[in-house]
Amino acid sequence: MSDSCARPDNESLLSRALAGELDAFCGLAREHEKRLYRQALGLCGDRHLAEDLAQETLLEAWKSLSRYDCSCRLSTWLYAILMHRHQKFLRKKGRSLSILEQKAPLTDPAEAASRTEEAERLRAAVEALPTAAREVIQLRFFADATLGEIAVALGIPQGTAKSRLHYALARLRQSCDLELNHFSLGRDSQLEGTTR
Amino acid sequence: MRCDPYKEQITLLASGDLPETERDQVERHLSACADCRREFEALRSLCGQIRSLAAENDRAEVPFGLSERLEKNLVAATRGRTWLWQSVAAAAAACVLIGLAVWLISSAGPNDTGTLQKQEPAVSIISTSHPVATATDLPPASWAAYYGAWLQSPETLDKMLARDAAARLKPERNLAGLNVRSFLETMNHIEEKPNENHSVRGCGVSSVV
Repeated sequence: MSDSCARPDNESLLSRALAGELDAFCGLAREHEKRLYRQALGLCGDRHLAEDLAQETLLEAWKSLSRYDCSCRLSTWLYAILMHRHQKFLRKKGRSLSILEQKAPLTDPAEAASRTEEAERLRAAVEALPTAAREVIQLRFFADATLGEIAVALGIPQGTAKSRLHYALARLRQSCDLELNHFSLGRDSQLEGTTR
Repeated sequence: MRCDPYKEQITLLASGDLPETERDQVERHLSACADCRREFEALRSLCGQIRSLAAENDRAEVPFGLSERLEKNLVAATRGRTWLWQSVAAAAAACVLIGLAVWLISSAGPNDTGTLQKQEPAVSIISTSHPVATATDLPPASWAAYYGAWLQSPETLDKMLARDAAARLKPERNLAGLNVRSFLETMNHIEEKPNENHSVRGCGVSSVV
């Protein structure tokens, strides 16, 4: 996994940042900040909060950079920090699954219009997963991490990462099927209501 | 057909995480099992939808000036942290230095006095009429003052001696009964042998340490 530690062009930046050079870390941050912001936005749905989360993630990364051992990509490591910061934020606010509540009024209308109902349902289903399962889904699909990197980022054995991914996808499939059924039933009953 | 052993592998195949070495075996099972094939297709579709969701995030517009703000705040926070650590380190260093100085002064004090005692004569006044009223190591600087006091009157010297001794002794102790004349004789003796230690006991010079 060490080959994915850093691309050759940012390898020197990383080694300088690891040596404590803030300028070098800022260079790395510039490479990751847009993606980090978008990932944060995907997690929280609020632009201001997303910027705060990205900021906190980079600061946290700088403070604990000495613990980054290149066993996963920097982007994966940053995403894992982002997830923890987001979880911390939710705990602080005393809300566990209220992401959709904050998304509804704050999402850009044009952006919202482009989203399909299915995508929204799927997003809701992902958010409703237990934390351990959701983390694996987020790392695998939103941070494009491999199973090995997920294991490193979460500090779990690779076999556990596999099991969690299997469990999470099975759970999502089940809940999406149920949602679909509910949706169909609801539409059917509405149709029935209109025909009566 | 037993499908359970393949369930996890089918999920991993759908998500693109199944190792090459296991792929053939799972694909053989899929070609023979319609239920698992349907499950696989559903999971693959699900994974595709999640990826689309992630891709949607990647298309989100990045606010103007994000990079500048992030970098500025990062540098500011780091400098703040550095400043804080520098302040803490400076305060700690100051505490250590002050502590060291206090320890040196307190530990060097008695030794210095000891050194002075050996280099310069000191007077011990031992009252024979009042055994506990003992004034030791009266400072040489005050001898001239004692002599001047004696020139005025023996009572003046007596008062002065009692005051100085009281400052060095416990309050209940005093030099009442001390023979002033013997002290003054000691003064003369000190003038003759200024590098020796002397003591006054009752009447007359009793010993030279």
